[in-house]
Amino acid sequence: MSVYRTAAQLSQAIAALAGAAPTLCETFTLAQPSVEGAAISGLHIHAGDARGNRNGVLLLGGVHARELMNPEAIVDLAADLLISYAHDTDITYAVPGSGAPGATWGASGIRVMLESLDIWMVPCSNPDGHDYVLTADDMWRKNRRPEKGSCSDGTQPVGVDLNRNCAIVWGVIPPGGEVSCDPCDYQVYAGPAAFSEPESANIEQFLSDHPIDTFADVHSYEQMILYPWGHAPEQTTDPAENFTTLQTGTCNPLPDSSYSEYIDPVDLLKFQSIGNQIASDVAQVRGSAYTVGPSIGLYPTTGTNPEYAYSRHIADQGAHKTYGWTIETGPFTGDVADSFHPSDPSQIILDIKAAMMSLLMQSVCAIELIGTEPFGAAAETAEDQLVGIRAWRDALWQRNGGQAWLDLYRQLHPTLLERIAVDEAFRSRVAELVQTAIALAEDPDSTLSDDHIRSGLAVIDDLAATSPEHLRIQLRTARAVFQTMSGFSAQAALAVVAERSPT
Amino acid sequence: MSTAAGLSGTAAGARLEATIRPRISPDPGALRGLDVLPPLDGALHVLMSPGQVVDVVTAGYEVRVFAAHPIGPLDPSLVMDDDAAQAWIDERVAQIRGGRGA
Repeated sequence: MSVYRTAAQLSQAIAALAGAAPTLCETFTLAQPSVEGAAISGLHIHAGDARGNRNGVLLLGGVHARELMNPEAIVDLAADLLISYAHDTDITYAVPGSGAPGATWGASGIRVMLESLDIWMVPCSNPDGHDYVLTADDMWRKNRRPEKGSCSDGTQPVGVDLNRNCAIVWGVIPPGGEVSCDPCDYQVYAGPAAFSEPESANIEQFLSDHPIDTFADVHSYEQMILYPWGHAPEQTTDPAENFTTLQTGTCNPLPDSSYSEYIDPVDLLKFQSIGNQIASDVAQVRGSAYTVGPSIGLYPTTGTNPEYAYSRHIADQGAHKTYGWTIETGPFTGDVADSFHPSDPSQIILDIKAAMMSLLMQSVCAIELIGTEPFGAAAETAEDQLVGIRAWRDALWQRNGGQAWLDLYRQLHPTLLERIAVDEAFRSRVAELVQTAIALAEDPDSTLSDDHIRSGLAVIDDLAATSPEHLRIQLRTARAVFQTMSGFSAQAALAVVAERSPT
Repeated sequence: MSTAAGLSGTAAGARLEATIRPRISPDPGALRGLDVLPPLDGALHVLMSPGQVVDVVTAGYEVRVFAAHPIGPLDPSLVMDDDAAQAWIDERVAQIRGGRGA
């Protein structure tokens, strides 16, 4: 079964997709060619009218050369999305007989998603290494940079691990960590300097040039959804204890073994909540059990792409905030070669595509979409409108009851996207509610009127009519809470919601 | 040591897949340079050369070798040829054509 394409064939595939759907997408080329001179290309999907406030998503594959399934999955996903958009077809990833129901995303929700996001896909970010796996060494992981000197066996050292070469605690070796400063290290050499390699410098450049909200680097083989950090355990109490204070390039462990890295508590909750939804969606395909946790749970690392992406807004407060993910696809099959490049990866590729679909769908916020719609391409005006309700959202994240409401919203979100895509009356009601929320957020003296309550209850009832039973139960609670709020100020309503879980 | 010496004599041109557990006063420095894979059954899971087996065992670890992987290219039967790659393209392009955005 011939299943793995060369780097050139992968580029040809995305060029052909772009040629077939020229108003939905186009190819692009990263700033620098690979060490051996190969152009590194990607596909930019952005359907619908120009909007100035699209959320950006970057999906990266093939950083580690031997992990061959992931470039295939990204190209496959691109084709699935374009076919769905072209013909208004649902996307279902399912394995009959697995006992799992299959994961389905409706055509209307996909259309809204594609018309709301800038999706950038780079399936094969390490083309030299990729082709070296196909032609010389099927366990190769790094790029193909020749280094100076010779190793103990007389050979010339070659290659840098592109997922250790980024400027986040670069060149520090955490205890038990998989990082090396030795050019002769077969797999995890971090390179002579941060971003010394064109393939990883491309990621830095891309993130500087494009406002990317969600970044996922797809690896193999462990069934995990990973979020920062990789170099130390996280803590949420001391913002001053953060990576900007650490010395880099030491080729030693961190001097303080008790060091913990700060992560914003709201961000941590978002990572956990979104990660859990990804794992849940993947499980629908064929029952695969993905776990969710910080990157250090796999093994300690420094210099990785997703951690770098997330670190940028902390190191430079003017930088766009990017949520960085590693999707580790698997499982281990009992044989390492078969785990990195199985002879039949088709079912694993369904899992991978479901994980990426889940992340893409969660990168759209229906409320933001509708709240900014009246402003079209006027991105800054639209963003200003959202400041107040984003503050409410962040306040809810910090309360247990509030988190439960946000989890309910996340579970309802696919249905919400579907309905606003196909039902104009429903869309108008949601838009009216969002505009009311924006007005309430701007004026602390305003209160919820009976009309506001009636509009809100109508939306809740609409959603309940098309939701599964376990969500209907929560929506009944939502209804009961909401109908008591006439005359409440926004702050009073928020306080009630934060104290009362819908579950 | 005898185990390592035996492997050294038979596994040239191959990487050994193994799990490693601490035994007596292990020296973690000996683990540098191994190709570390996701953990297996709670043990360090690696690909290593026969020479590295000797070093790691000597440094106080127990090494359980359970597979040998010849160093070489991907099985050519798994590599897509140009006809198959073009067929994939033709099928998808045909599915996109005639629809919205095409």
